[in-house]
Amino acid sequence: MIVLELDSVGKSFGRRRILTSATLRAEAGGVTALLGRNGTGKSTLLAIAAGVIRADYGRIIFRDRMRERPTHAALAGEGLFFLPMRELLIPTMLVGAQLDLVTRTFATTPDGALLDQLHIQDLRDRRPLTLSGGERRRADLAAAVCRTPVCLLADEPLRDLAPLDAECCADVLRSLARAGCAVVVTGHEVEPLLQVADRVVWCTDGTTYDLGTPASAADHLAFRRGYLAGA
Amino acid sequence: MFRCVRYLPMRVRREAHAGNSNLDVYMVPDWLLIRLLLGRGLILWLGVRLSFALIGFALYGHLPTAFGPMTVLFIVGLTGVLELVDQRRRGEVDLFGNLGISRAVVATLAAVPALAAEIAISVALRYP
Repeated sequence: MIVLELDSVGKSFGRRRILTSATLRAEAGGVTALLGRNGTGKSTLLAIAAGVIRADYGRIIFRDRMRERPTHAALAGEGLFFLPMRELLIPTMLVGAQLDLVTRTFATTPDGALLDQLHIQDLRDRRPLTLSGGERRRADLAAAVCRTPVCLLADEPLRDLAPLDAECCADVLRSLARAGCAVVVTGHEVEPLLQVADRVVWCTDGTTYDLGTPASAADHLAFRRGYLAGA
Repeated sequence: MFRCVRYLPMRVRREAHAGNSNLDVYMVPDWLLIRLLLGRGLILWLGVRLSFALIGFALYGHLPTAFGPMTVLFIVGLTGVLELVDQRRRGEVDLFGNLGISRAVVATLAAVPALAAEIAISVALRYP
């Protein structure tokens, strides 16, 4: 079942056209990897999908409902969770208090095993300000776990993570998808992303190409030449 | 259209959460966040009020206590807008968004202490 669909979305910043006609679909229970070179509009597309920025044109459908002017708060109220590239949690508030806040607001019961996997118990009594980049990323992901979202949009969730931490976070993304969440991830950590993804979407030249499974994406000549290079 | 999910009937809420409704679903902020925003609103209002008083002093040579209704409305609105700016500066926009709290709710909550304080001042000045 398709939870989130963006169709023919376009966006310009001033005279610079970032997206001309981009399409993105997120299916329940699946992980979609949105890959592409820097500056091709992956983060913009994700931010549009999350209602953080507004598209110039295009169609956005979330949970079978066409959204005229989607806002992040309205989509979040219906189960969308956006993990931005920058830090998510308030730097000066205890991690545990913020995770409890998410749980309390939506009356959710987070998967304890997933939180354990993120080793969040060690971080609960600390403020994000005092955490390392990797620990912050884990804490941000824990907030997503606490929300038990219908759709998770994660912008570069594996960035700057040690291989072991990246694997742990990738496992959590996979587990969320297994629980029925529609997950969309971006990033340049090709190996772990292709391992965790069910589908690969290539963002290039202002548009997107659905390349199918990671195996078929890896065989796609233009994708290999235009993005993977020597990978 | 602003709808607050907790104030809607259970059937409508269930439909909204299931995505079957045409309502936009926003969440009521947790008490912790309400206190946070009210506190910040109060500090911002004090700052705005002080700035206005200083401007008045610079222009007219005395500290004004009472302002006209339009100025008061402007001060209250400015407090709300400044909270939105402050929230962006603190990097809290994404978390509030993920909590389903709209920017309108944030600005309104921050403006509440300003409105209350301005009403209290005008009452105190009218009935000393």
